[in-house]
Amino acid sequence: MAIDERADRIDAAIAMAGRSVSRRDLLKVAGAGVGYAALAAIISACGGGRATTPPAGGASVAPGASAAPGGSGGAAIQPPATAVNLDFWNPFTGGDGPYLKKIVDQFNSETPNVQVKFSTQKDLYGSLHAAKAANKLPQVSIVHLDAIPQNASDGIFQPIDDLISALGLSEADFTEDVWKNGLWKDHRYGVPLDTHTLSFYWNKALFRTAGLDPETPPTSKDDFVAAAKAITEKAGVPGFMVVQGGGGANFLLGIEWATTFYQGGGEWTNEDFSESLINSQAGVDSSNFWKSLVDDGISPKGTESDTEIAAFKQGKNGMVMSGIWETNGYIEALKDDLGAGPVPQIFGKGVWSGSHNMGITTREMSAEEKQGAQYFISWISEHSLEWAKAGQIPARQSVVNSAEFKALPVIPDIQKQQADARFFPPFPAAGDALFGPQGAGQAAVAAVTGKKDAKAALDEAAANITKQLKENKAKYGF
Amino acid sequence: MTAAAAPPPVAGTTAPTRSLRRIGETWYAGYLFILPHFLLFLFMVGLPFFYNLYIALTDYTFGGEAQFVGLENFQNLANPDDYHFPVFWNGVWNTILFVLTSTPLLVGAGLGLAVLVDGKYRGRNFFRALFFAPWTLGIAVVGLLWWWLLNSQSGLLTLFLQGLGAQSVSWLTTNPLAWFSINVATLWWTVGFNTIILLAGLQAISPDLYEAASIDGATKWQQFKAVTIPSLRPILLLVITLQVIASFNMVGQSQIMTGGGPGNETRTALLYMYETGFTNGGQFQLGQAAAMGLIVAAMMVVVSIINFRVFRSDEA
Repeated sequence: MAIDERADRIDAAIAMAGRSVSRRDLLKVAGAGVGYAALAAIISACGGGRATTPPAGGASVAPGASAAPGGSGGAAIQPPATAVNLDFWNPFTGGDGPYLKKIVDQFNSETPNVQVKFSTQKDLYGSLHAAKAANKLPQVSIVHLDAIPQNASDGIFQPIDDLISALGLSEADFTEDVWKNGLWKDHRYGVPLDTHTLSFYWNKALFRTAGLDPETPPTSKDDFVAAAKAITEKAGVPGFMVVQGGGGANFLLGIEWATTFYQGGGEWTNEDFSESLINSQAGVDSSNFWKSLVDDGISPKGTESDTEIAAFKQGKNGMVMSGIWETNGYIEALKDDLGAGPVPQIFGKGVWSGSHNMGITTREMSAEEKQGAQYFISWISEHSLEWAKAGQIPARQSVVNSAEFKALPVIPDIQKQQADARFFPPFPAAGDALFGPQGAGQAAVAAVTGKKDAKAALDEAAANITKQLKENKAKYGF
Repeated sequence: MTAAAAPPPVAGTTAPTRSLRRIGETWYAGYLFILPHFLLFLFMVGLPFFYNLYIALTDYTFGGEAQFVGLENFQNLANPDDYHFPVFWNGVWNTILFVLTSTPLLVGAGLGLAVLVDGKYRGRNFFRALFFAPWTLGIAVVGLLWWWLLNSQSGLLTLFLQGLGAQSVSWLTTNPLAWFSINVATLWWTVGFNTIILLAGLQAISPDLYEAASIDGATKWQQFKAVTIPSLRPILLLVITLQVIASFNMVGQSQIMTGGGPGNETRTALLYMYETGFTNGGQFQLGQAAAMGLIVAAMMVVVSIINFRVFRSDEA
């Protein structure tokens, strides 16, 4: 608590530090969206304690009210007849943790026979691996979509095809790409809890200063560049800041690069995951687009990771593309001046996304324990409305289509791009192809800073990723 | 008479004294003395080392079953076509670069500060404590502190420079400034340790030597060269060796302050080892990471041996 109070006194910039450091940790972990898995718990608490309370309209909605209309529901799975205790691990060390804990608390009070202990792990996958070696795995854990192949191969998670078929879950309950890429060697290991997309935010006050309509955000490349130029020239602050360095650069520029890469029709690999294709024309165009914003004087040179976020909160940056988990911080900083929505289509449709899934581990458990774990997962999946308040888009279509979700601030505006959400393909270390020390994010940074030619940098990265894919194919047999 | 006055020898009291003395004279007395530390060493350093050797020969990843893979992990690091090769050896080069820049800086500055706080003046204990204080901090604190001082958009130094009307400087995202910043942060953090050790060395030098030198007309600088440095040689050797090892082990400054960037230019071998062995992105390749660790350890052994040789030949 004292830490949160301190965070309030130190300016918004401090909150940002937690994310900067945490992201570095995180991108090695999975490259997915919780911006909080922190190097130092203190700092992450600073970053996380700042979530706003949703307006009364949203808060008054009981999460339980969002039962799936027309969905298959959890009817097929019942709580076990005898009482069981479950451990549930998750990586949410920041401000989003309490939202999930609230759902779990509600579950515990409604389900006397299944009592779930909510346990947050700073380094989730490191902890899971260590727990596996010590035979101390929890029964249930969050797993990022792109971390499934690695962690399933390492024997951390077990297939849950039986649960999926018992619940009658299918692609129609989620979005296409998250469902498609959740399959590892013909098995499913997780039920998607959310999707977190790259999102587009703009400062309405700066739009007005620049003579732009604050209610009509840019949706195309030309509109976007024109708006950015207008703000840079007329408002005296950058219209858009391209991250060119700093510890989070591979991640922050990486998810923007991946978005325009997807939009240009880019694919990470060939059909059988044996060759990296990041150096395709889509990749080169993607790098060059972000570079042009720097070369044309729209973005300041040398922008460091996270400073674009801080500047946006201070009203010194006209537009920003950030992970959706930044939403609460932006609402708090800009209030009514915040505009949010789908990322402009620079080259077409497509937006970088990640997804938290709920999985059952390989820990030895009784039939009752397993039944309890299955019931818990299906229950949480249907009651994920509260999770949207943490700045995440619930993965279940039934929740997203509910009136309660649509009444939430900001998040539903961003959710409009849901159909364009794209995810990493299912092979081990897929996230590393973007965020790793030899990934596409690194190559994009080298290109926007003019250190290397866009094509040459991507060629080099692609060659290394292909080598890694070949070794992994031999090792994991996919 | 005398025989009657003498107390009769009591077997129980004299025997232990005798046997203790005997133990002191035995061949194994020395071993008994080192036994406590040896046990600690065995369990905290020895066994982990051999376990590490074993892991390096497998494809262990915490989970799954570890397969024996022979020297494959080492071959990967020797094969330019392997994807670990460029980042690892680039990391080794970065590590060497840091050792070469930080060692003279930290030993030189440590010696200078030691001489300064060795003088007889009021408040010297305050300065001794002041210089040593940062050493007690953890790397997470030190790294974040310097990140907040130096980051180019909202760092304290940046705001200060902007206040003076200067352009902001990319202290952490361009080289050679990134390496300069890491060196400065490391200097601030650990120079106090070297200072304290060297100060102890300085105080062990007999004042007679300085007195004799000054009677012979030696200036302060000549005294420093002819008395201080030669007398300090064993301590200097220790400090340099410890500093080389500490610099070889640098991970946190890069990880926190620069994230290994720009590019991979400040990513050290051990940072890459950590990422390979203990992160999901690195696929928990503990076998591969263990091999990296052994290669770096072997380099440290070689450097330490050279270090000792150089100083010994100077003595002769």
